[in-house]
Amino acid sequence: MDALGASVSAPTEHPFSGAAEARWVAPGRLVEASRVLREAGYFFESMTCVDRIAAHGVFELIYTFNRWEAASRVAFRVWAPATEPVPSISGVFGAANWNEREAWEFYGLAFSGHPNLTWLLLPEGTEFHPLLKSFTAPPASSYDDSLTAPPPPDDAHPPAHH
Amino acid sequence: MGVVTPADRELDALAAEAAPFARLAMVEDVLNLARANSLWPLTFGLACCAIEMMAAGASRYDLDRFGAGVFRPSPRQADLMILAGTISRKMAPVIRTLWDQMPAPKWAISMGGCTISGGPFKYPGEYAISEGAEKFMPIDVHVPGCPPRPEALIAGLLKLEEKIKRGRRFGRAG
Ligand code: SF4
Repeated sequence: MDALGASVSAPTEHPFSGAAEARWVAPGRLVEASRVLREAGYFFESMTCVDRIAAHGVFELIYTFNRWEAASRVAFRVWAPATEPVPSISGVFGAANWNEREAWEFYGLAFSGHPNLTWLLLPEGTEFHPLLKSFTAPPASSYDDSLTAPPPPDDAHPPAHH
Repeated sequence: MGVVTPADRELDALAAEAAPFARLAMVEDVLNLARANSLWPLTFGLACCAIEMMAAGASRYDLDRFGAGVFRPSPRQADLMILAGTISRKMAPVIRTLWDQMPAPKWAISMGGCTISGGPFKYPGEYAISEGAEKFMPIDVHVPGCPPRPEALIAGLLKLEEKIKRGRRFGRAG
């Protein structure tokens, strides 16, 4: 962990957070810090995004990494200014690819250097970000469930013998 | 939707012409009896309801007793779509395509609250779940529940069989 000198240790209690160690990482150092973990034999577990725009004007990203030894989960906490793209770590940990897409579509947070930043769970072309705290409802026009012509009436063509 | 082939039209014209002389109704009835007792569902699950559908297909509830246990891997071979689960708006166009790819005559059962109306996912401001399959395709039988038990699905199947035996079906709008 000493190689993560660029980061600052964040307080964490393993029984509550599940992370043996947590670190504050600046967005600019994220890729470098992930590479250190990769070389130390860690794998990418998950990434979550928290909308802290109202209070701090940032998204908080929490990356968790682990390896097959007892109590070795490491968490990175990143405060990312809402308007700036965060460097993608999908080049270091391929598994982060989909988590970053999800954060992008649900929060509108961009990731720079991501190979395929496109909709994962929402329909292609969705223009709102439903997990933002400022989100209330999708625009009324955005969804029309009737995809094509309405179904024909039942028995439009009854058999000849009726 | 229903593709009416020239052959269909010819057959219908022929049936109309022959009606005074021959009773084709019995042929239709026999065909419908066969159709009702050999439904081939599309292998296809969307969410939690699909687990109950699988239970209904497995040995304890055994859909094969009703001739409906041959789940087909291709829509081209299936004549029954059991919609079992939550329909996300991303999935809805795919389902519609699968339905369009099934050859007529074909039938659909909507299983569970989700496919009937959006179920537990229907609330103001909802952004990702389709409010029922009937918005984009025709449904023959609704099986309510969250999820319905396998018995309920079987009851739905039997209802559908009744409907088929009476010669009612989608897919031949002409
Ligand atoms: S109706 Fe209930 S059990 Fe069925 S898919 Fe919806 S939420 Fe799941």
